Amino acid sequence: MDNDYVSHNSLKDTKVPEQQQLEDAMSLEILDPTHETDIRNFTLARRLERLHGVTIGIVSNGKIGTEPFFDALEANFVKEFDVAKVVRRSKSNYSAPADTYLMEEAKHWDAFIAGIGD
Amino acid sequence: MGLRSKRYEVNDLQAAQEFYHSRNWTDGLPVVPPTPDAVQACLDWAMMPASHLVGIEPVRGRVITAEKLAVNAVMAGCLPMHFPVVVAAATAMLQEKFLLHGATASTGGCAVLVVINGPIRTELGMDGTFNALASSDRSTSVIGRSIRLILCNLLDARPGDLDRSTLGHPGKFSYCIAEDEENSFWLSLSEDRGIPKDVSAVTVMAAGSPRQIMNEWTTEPSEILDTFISEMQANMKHYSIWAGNYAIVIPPQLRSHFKASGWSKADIKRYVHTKARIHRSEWANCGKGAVVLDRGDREYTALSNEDSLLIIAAGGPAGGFGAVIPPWLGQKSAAVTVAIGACLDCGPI
Repeated sequence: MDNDYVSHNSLKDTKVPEQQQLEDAMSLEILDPTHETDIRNFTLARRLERLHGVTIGIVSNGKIGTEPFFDALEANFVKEFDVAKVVRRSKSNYSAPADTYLMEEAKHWDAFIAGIGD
Repeated sequence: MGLRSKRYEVNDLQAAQEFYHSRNWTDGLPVVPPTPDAVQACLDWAMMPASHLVGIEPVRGRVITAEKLAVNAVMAGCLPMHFPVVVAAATAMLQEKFLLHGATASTGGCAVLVVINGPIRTELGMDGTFNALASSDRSTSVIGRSIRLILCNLLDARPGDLDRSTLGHPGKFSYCIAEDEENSFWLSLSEDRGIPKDVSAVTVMAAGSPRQIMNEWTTEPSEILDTFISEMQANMKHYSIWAGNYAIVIPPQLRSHFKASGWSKADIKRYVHTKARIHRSEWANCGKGAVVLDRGDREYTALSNEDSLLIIAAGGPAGGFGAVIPPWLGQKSAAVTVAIGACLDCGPI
């Protein structure tokens, strides 16, 4: 009986050598084309407990479409939330990161709002 | 050190296609599965270790290695002999002044124009004649295509991802030209840009779609150039007024008139720089009157200097058809030329 069990399974698991070779030849090992770099985990910036008396910087990508929105935002901050100061800045190149001097200045702000327009 | 890319096993060629397409790793067309052997063959041809640092995309600090370029080059259909050109093009694109991130992400939708010069053109069977701006030959087609896959997979420049192009243009599939040096009496583009004669080179430019012009009614070089200039002026009005690199493609039929009159590329650049200008007030004639303001008298030039013009001798033997290839957006990106297979420790041009 044991011999019958072994022989049955042997038949199930046995492939014709040519068939196995063909299957092996058809399978492909391929490579990942992406950068595969580790994704940096971003954490949310610390929330301000209040807006009263703070300095908020608003940085535009430099396109005219940002102006009406940021104008309204600035007015809202001043009127409704009594911020001390709203600093408005624009990048010199909307297709490149913010200028170094601008990022240095931002270190003195309590909050930083960046936005893009067109 | 061997190949470090993650490996996958798929059943067959068809499965490989769906594997890559389902992960958004293609340009929509079938790809050549990048097997370890095929990728290693590219690296061996270029005599580069897999870990060789080709460059770093400056804005996002993204590292670009030879291995990853080779994977995408194979996918595009490149053979090992094409790979050194791909590496040179990537090296050029990663120069800070090219502003690859901006050019790739912009709503402006430009593509990377790649112009090949030097002996490598004949070695790779490139053809700068018929269909020079389309699928002229295998080598320019696959090299141009590899650029798109590299941008997609190594910089995430996929439509709607980093690439926010409103429209884009077909050059994003492949935009590679071999200059027809054998049929041109001029300095090649790369020589004109400082590469020694007989050194193979690649020039990259963040470029809009080509605008075809036609002039078969004059033999005067200045009048032929006036047609090119009209298209440049139209681009300034219709698209962007800002000066930058423009490329013009001049076919044999038109080149013969320049040769007969003894016009060099320097003569052409001087003429075009002088005449390719508009006044801001002209915007009012094409629906942009709202931004003319009180600056209507201000003059704008297509070229900030004469050397901003890239002159490319290419095209089939018959037909007075040339092309103007405008910049992505003014001087935000500068065309870059690098030698192919030059000393890896040498700085690019």
